[in-house]
Amino acid sequence: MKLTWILLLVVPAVVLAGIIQGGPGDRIMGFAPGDSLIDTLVVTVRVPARIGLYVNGNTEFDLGSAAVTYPPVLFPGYYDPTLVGGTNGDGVDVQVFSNSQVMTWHLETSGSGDFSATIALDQLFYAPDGEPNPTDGNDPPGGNWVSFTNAYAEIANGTNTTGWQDESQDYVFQAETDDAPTPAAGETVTIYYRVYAQ
Amino acid sequence: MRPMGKSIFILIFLSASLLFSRTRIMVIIDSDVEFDLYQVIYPPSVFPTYYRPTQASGFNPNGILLTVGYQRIGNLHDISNVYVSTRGSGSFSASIALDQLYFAPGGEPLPPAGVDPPGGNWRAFSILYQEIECLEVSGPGLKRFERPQDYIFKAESDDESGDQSITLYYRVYGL
Repeated sequence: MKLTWILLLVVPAVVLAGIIQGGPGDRIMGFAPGDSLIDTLVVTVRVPARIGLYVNGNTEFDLGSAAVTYPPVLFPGYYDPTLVGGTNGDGVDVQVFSNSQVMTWHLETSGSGDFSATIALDQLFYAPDGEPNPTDGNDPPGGNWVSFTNAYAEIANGTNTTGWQDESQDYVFQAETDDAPTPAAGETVTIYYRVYAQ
Repeated sequence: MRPMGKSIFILIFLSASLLFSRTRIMVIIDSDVEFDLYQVIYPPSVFPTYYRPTQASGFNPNGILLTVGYQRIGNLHDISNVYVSTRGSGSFSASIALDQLYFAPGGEPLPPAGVDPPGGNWRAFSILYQEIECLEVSGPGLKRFERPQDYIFKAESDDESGDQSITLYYRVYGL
């Protein structure tokens, strides 16, 4: 008799209850208590394989500044920038992005040409941010300092960067004995950075 | 009538009475959703950055239109609430977790870049059901409740490229 009553209570619920499923646009219906309606949709995320380059900003070496001792006691003398456009007080902000798992990114740099007839492009040196300044009188400057040329030279490479990877570069200008005075506005070169992946 | 026949008769009667005294419940979702980062500025300058869907509901371009309803049938009712909850099937990929997808009631502002978690009413999806709403069942007739759901995708610095999909589930039941 007990079994009969248990069946009377349980069987209708079991028979009538269920999980009813559908997708977008379906009108899913059931009865409560008992039924559970489960509607579904698909969410797709498409993340492109991208490379990115951020460079900031212009840099100036003003050897006529009151804060600079020129001429140096020893040639060649090495000078930090007197004016920078970014947050790196010794050079430029450089950041690289790559989210490709299969390709290798390459960061390269070059210069447009000489500053003047007496001031060559290779008197401008770069190194990873934080490199100690060279000692006056040493030529070449040593350490990780590399002179600019008008051919692209690789600075760094890697696979995916996990966001924007800091590759900021410090600059020093190497003053030589034969540097002729520049016009008041100075002499200018353009520095190029490029990133590619392959 | 023999005891066995009587039991069957009562069983049928009880089933029928339950059928006619229960509450009909319903749910409709109108669209799948896509975040196509090819169509936006990617990578962002700051991580994390939050993106709205690039393809979504015609009624709610920021997500879906979720419609839930109930209709009392007969005079006897034994549910007082209809519950709505949601969950996701799992991570998008090894580098893109399910909890980078957030939901909120329609109209929630887009969080600013660089903020983590996004704040406001945004809730991250998980593989466990999270309750969205509890509707009190009352009154006669069909009751429909339109509940637009907004979604945002949180782009993180370690997201690998590729196309990935998950399934979202919305569960509706009455108690």
